[in-house]
Amino acid sequence: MEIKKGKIGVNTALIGFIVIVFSPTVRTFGSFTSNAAKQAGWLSPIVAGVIYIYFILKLNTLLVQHPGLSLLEIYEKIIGKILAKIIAFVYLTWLTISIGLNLRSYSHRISAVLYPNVVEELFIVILLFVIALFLVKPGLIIASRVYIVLAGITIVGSALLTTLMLPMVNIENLFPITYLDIIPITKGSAIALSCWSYITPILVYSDDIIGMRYFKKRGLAAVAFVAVTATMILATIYGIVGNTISTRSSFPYLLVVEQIQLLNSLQGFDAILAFLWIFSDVALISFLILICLKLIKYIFNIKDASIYTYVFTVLCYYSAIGLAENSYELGNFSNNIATYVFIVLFVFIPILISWIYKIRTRAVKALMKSNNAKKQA
Amino acid sequence: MWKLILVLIIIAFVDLKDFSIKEHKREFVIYIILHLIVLGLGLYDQSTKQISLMEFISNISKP
Repeated sequence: MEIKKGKIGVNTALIGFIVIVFSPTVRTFGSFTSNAAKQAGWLSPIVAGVIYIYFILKLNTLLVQHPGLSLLEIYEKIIGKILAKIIAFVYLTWLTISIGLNLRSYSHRISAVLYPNVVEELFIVILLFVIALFLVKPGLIIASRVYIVLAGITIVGSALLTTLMLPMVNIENLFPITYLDIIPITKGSAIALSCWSYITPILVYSDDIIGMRYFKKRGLAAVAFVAVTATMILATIYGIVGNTISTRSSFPYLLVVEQIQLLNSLQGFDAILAFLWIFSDVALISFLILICLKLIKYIFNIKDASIYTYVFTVLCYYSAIGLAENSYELGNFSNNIATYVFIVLFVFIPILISWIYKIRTRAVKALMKSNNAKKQA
Repeated sequence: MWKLILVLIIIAFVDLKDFSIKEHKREFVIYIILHLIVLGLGLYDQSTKQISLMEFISNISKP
């Protein structure tokens, strides 16, 4: 067991990452990639995976060179306290909004799939209550144990659904792919870059994660896993319903899962997907709230932020209901704004800071070399 | 609105049960500010002029 002395292992953190990206993957990838790249959109996660190899290497440089520090403390060492606090405040604001986005998507999905005539706010209140009481208040260690269980269920469940769907895939729907599709595929990869950027907020807890020296190896394995899984999910969506229907549907993966029929009699596998969604959303929202509390702790230099759990949860409720009037606005916000803000905040900023760190290290080395040369002269 | 105030009072009772304000002044001030933000959001949500964040973004991005 990796959990030691109030800390979690790098494997546990990355398992948490795998489980939290399942819900956004299933929700957004289908329609976004088919809009951007038509029948070639299913290859978008592979392009994003290649970009993420570089991103993981850059994150690894920062983390390995600054052991025992959280990501924001690393920022502070490189760009100074004021800029690091400003970035932390922007992260906090954006993560609060993204909690609202995920809560609204969750409640919308539940009311569309399971309980059509129930007020959506009720699902948000129940979910927030359960999360605050049983996952956030007990702390990261208890939450991470739950994530391991949820990850097991999610991986087995999604593997089962994919296996059942594979015989229904029509290969003709996945082709033709030519060199002209390279740019559309790259555009489509924005959604994968955005969803997988949740790895950066997780690293706000890097001072509470042990075994960070294995981050490169494990991080690359996690990215490879999510890239392959996302490609499989997209291939099944495109292969079964085609890119035209995928573009127009709100939940293309659900549409595909609803078509599964086993032995010409067993149906209703969408219930499995609904539960996998709920599990992933529970993990995602609870992890984001934990990260926000850690950010509050960092911004205001306080020792313990656990007393803000309940009041911050109520704040998240207002973030969810004040985000958009209806599902169309929510979809617009998710596809046209949130996707790119996530990339800028959680992919571009860490890469930029790693570049600054590299330039500074080289400059210091050059300065020391020239000083030594002067002394010798 | 009264539901929100009731929820916040219950939350404050639960959170501040074993809390020493003298030892944690800064934490307490932030706690009060968070409560005020939530109350403000609750009031705004009740307001007739309330608009969503997405509506606000589309209003400011209009040419």
